[in-house]
Amino acid sequence: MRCDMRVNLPTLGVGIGFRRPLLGEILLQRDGIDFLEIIADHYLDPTPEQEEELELLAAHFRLIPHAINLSLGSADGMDCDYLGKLAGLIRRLDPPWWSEHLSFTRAGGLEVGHLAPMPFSREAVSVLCRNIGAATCRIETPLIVENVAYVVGFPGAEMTEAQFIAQVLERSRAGLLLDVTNLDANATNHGYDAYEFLDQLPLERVVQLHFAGGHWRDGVLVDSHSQPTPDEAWQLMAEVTARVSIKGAILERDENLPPFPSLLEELEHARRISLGDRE
Amino acid sequence: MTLAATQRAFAQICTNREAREELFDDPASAANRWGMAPADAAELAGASEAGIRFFASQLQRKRLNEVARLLPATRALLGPSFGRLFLEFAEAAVQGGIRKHEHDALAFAAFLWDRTELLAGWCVERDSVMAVLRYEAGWVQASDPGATLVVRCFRHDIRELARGIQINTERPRPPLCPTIAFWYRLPPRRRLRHAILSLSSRRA
Repeated sequence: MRCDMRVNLPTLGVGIGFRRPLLGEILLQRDGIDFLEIIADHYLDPTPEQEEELELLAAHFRLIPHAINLSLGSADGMDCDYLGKLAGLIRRLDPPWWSEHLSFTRAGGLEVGHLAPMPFSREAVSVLCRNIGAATCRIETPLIVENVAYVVGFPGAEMTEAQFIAQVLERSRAGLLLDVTNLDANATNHGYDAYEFLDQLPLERVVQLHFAGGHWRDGVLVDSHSQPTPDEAWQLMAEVTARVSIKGAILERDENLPPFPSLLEELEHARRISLGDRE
Repeated sequence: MTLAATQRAFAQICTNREAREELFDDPASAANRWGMAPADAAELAGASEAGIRFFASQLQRKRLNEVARLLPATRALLGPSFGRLFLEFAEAAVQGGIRKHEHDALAFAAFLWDRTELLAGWCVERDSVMAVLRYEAGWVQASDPGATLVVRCFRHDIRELARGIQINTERPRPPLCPTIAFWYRLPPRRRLRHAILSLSSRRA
């Protein structure tokens, strides 16, 4: 995706990742939610109940599909069946963009079960760009790719994480879904400066942000989406939005769900930051 | 080491405890046994052992949490043992596909069903735990969009079991009350329907 294509994308505002336990509150409080991000996998082979749920959500919100198992980073290639179903869902929803990860979830016929990190190598850049190209040939809707949190750094890295992401963006047609919580976790766990990281990214390619709170386990900051967004993530969001206007931001809260008003407060906080009201 | 080889090896050691332990103990042996090039195995073993172990534990926790969401009453009944038993099961079985968590839950239920001796010594009646497990697995199986009819038969009233069982509480066995639970989808909307029928005129 080149900068001129990004300009044509609508500004959606601040929203929340849809989680089924929040359905009632989301519908009741929809004035405080600009758009929803849905986990695409939940609707690729839907039951009639899931179909109804999707219709209900689409009737009230702009929906952005967030896929988690296309495995853009797989050297073995993507799952064609999954890609076909994903294309059908995106065609149906007609979103302004959709998202996946700079990661792999499948290799050698095995499902890893979670977003596995990529080695920061030239070959990995090539594989990602090849798969992104194949995906965007099949699905014309603009694709944005997310930076993942990782605890394993592969030996023999040929570049930094920031350089790796920058090269993928420069060589592909994808935009960037910048997860500021993942950035904070990686900077904390791997000892680098998150702001220097931002300096190395083509921030004009950022379309959307993710934000959430994690927790500490065994000395590692885990991106568990289980806590309120921490100050460090808010500060990174402020830094990014000071440098570039974004098209949307999504709060990801998966576990330890609090009373809904506190989630709405986080959305409002993100709105104030992205509109330039720095606390 | 090619990216494909790195990813295959990484997927293997993160989902298989035996492969993981062997890699860190003896990379050459792991290479021979798990189909890696010796140099590739040595290189991967030199990576962050703590990081790989942490990532592997994250995978297991994620699978456990998803299965616990699908089998909540069984989890409540088994308490901490649910997690321990699941981790034992998970080391030897990896599910795939869009419905991998549902497949995981059904495979775990089958694992427990085949290993009822694991529940020996529990205060809660083993048969009652198995009945609740089978009932919850019925829900998971019926949630498949392709399922049109799922039937489960029970010797006792499954509703009474689900309501009355408490962990570590001595409880008399509920009286026999054969019960059939069934889930079905009818056209045109094919919404999931569920019913429980008692086959005895006397309910517990």
